[in-house]
Amino acid sequence: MFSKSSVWRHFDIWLLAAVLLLTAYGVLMIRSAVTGSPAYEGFPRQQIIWAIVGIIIMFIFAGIDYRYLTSAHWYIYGGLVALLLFVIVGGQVNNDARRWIQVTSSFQIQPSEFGRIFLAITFAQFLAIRRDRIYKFNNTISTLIYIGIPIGLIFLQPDLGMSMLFIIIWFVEIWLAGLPLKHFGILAAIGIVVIGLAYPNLADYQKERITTFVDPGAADPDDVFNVDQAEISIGSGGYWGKGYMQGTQSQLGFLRVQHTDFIFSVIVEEMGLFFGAFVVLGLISFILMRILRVAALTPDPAGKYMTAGIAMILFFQTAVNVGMNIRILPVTGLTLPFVSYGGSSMTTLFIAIGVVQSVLMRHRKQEFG
Amino acid sequence: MNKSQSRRMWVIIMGLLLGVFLILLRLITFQIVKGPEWAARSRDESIVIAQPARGTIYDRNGAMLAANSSDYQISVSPNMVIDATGLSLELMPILQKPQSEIMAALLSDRPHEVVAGRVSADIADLVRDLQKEYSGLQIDPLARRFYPQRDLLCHTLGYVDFAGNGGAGLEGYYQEELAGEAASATFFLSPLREQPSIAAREGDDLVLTVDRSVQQMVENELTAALLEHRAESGTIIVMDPRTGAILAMASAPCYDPNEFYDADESLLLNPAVSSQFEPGSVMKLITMASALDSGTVTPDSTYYDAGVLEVGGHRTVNWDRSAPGTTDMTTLLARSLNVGAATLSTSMGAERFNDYFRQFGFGSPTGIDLMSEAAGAMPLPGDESWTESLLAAYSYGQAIATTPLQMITALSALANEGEIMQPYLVQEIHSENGDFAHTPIVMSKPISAEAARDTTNMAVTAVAREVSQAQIQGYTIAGKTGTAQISENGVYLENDVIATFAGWLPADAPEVIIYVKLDRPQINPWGSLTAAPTFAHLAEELVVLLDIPPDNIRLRADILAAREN
Repeated sequence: MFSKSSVWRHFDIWLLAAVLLLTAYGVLMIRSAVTGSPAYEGFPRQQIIWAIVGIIIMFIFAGIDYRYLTSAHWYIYGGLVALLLFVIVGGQVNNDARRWIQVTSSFQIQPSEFGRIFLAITFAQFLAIRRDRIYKFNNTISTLIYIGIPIGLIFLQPDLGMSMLFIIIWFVEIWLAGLPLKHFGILAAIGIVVIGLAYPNLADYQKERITTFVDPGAADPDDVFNVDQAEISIGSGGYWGKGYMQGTQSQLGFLRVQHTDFIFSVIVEEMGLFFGAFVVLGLISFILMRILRVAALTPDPAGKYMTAGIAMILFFQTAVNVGMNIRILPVTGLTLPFVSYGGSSMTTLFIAIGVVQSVLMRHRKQEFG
Repeated sequence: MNKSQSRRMWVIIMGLLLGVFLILLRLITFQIVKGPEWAARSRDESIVIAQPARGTIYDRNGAMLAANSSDYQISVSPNMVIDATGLSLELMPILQKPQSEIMAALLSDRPHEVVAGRVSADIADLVRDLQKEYSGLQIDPLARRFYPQRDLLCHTLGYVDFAGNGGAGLEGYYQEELAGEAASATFFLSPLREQPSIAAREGDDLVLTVDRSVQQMVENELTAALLEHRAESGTIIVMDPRTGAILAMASAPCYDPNEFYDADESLLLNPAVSSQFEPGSVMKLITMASALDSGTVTPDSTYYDAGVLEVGGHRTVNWDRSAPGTTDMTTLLARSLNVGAATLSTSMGAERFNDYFRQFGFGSPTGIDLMSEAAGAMPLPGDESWTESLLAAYSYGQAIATTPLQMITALSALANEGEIMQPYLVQEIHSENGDFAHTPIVMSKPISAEAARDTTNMAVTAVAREVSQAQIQGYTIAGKTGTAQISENGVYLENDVIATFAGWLPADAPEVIIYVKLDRPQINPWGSLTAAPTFAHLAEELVVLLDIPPDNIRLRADILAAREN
């Protein structure tokens, strides 16, 4: 498999190692976070199963030439939009938002989680095909329509964080494709006007989350409570933490949704700044650098854009998740990559790593033998 | 890769690194600069409170009058709930709530949700059965005051609201003693450490002067009297004049303090100490006692009754418009002559007369241990509402506002050698720090023992001559009727009166004084025909319950005892 002639000799062992370390760390912290909640008892085990499924999927995606995916980009895009439409019509409502499709009674998937990876791939191809027209503003408009349809559907669910993430994917990929700065300037001007008009029409809970950020005192007491408790957790963790399974905030149940959105608070409270925050952010930074290395190495524009897009997804999720834990960003529900509990999040991230590996393994123009 | 592209690539790499760096910077400042503050908050948040049990109230023989029981709060820890649908279906019929509402609580992402705020013990028992099958259910007791005798002694006991505060009566007055003191402490809470415990100061127990059976008998008589005379409401107070101990205090209509929240708000006040009224002719006993003590008259004095007396521009007439001419003091009381009473007060003069009334306690609260006691009202010279004519009106109990308790307290001077004992209800307080027993307090001594005895003797004769309805076999009764007019907006009502009778016995050595007040009797207005017979019924039963021997037996025993010495 790793013989000189195989594409697998380019496989990035370091990237895989970092991802596995982070996932294992996450499982341990989920175990601590759900201790004392019998309803969540099975979560660490479930997370391990998803991780194993994820690793298998990663190898499958690494093995498939990513160019099969890019050549089918219209089908993938079409399927994605169809799924998002289906969520709006027949999705499962959790916490007032319609984000899920119920597959069986105990299994539900979140299409936007899959969408963010596949959109990074199809949009990369969409841009690569049109890269000679990148200077034309009507091309810029068509990219906005391309990305605008799924964003609109996700916004209706409603899911503010995921909508933002899709915009960031568009931004980083089109940036790398060489969109003239002038176009960014025009779009920014239009954007400011649109936001000014759109804000009054946001869903109440979306406005609330923005006001929590701007003025924590004025927001929904539930959200303020979560952020307050997360802040206390993180703030009281100190350099070395209170010890694994010893966090008072997390173990006494002050923190809510602590195995998903607020897992970072648990980590810092119990493991401290050094073994908690530095380890998690260090591993994620390392993963980002390994992915961006692929973007730099590959000569294929589509491969370049999609790997940069995937790196941006990981970065943005991390920044937003940590940011909401320490009250610099509003509460959005974006997960901490590879750490937060959740099957959709976990398996789709492994797909992304698989695609990155696939791009890396095929970055030489020609492989003989 | 062309130059522009690699430049853009570097922008992305630097951007991401800068982002991670900023997050780390923020985290470091968060923890290092403000860390100790947050650490303190994570501990501060763990406050442990120990709630004390409210004290019990007993009658003088140890029968329980107020105790504690519980309601229950049903709540869930959603992250402990495994079968939310099953549990909600079970809870729905028990709590009588829609399934969707219960389901919302069970699936909430908060650590703790209240499903039912206050339910009875029966419902809590049904939920407790579910606990065997379902996880995550929590049943917490909520303190609730329990009155096993239901509405017995209701106004006097008062009630306790759901916040644990006494709202009236003894519960209100002794709130601090009964409630005890919650202890709270801040701990570094941890599931892995042994938790320290704290102890609250438990509430004190009260033992009352009231006897449950006397109170029950008095309440029965009051209810019967209201029915018989078709009176709207009424109050009876029974007191030991030698100590000021209240033996019974009843007002009707009543309410059940177990369900104080259903009671009409006007019922929550205790009329015995909070309602103010013009007491009427009973006051002539006080006027007579003052006149005798001041030396203005002697028991053998007479005065000339012309049937009318003008004081300060206001004409006083007798109730039957009679003009009996030369009249002695006993007849003044027996026939309840207004002109006579006004003659006494005017010959004493405003300063001396008012001084006596103040000494008897009018215009100021008695200081009994009950919440919201009214002070009454007695304008004095110098006050805005004082006029010369009040001197006459006071003498027969008009234009002066008193409470029933003030009346019986003032009259107790006549039954106790001229001394007024402060009325009280709590005989003993049992607290963690020891016991307290009430010692009788002399409030004032408005008149001499001689004046008290002389007035009592005149009151005995007056009852014997005019109020046979108040008499009972074997005992000498001293007393006085009153048929007080009711003033509304400064005008006396035509048809409604307050019928009263105050009496004490045995007249030569009083052991008990009784005050009966019936509001607006419809069958017959006269105190002698309504309140007096009620007094007689009470007295007949009281001498048995309180073990007071008939006069002849007691006096013979005294003589025998004297001979032996």
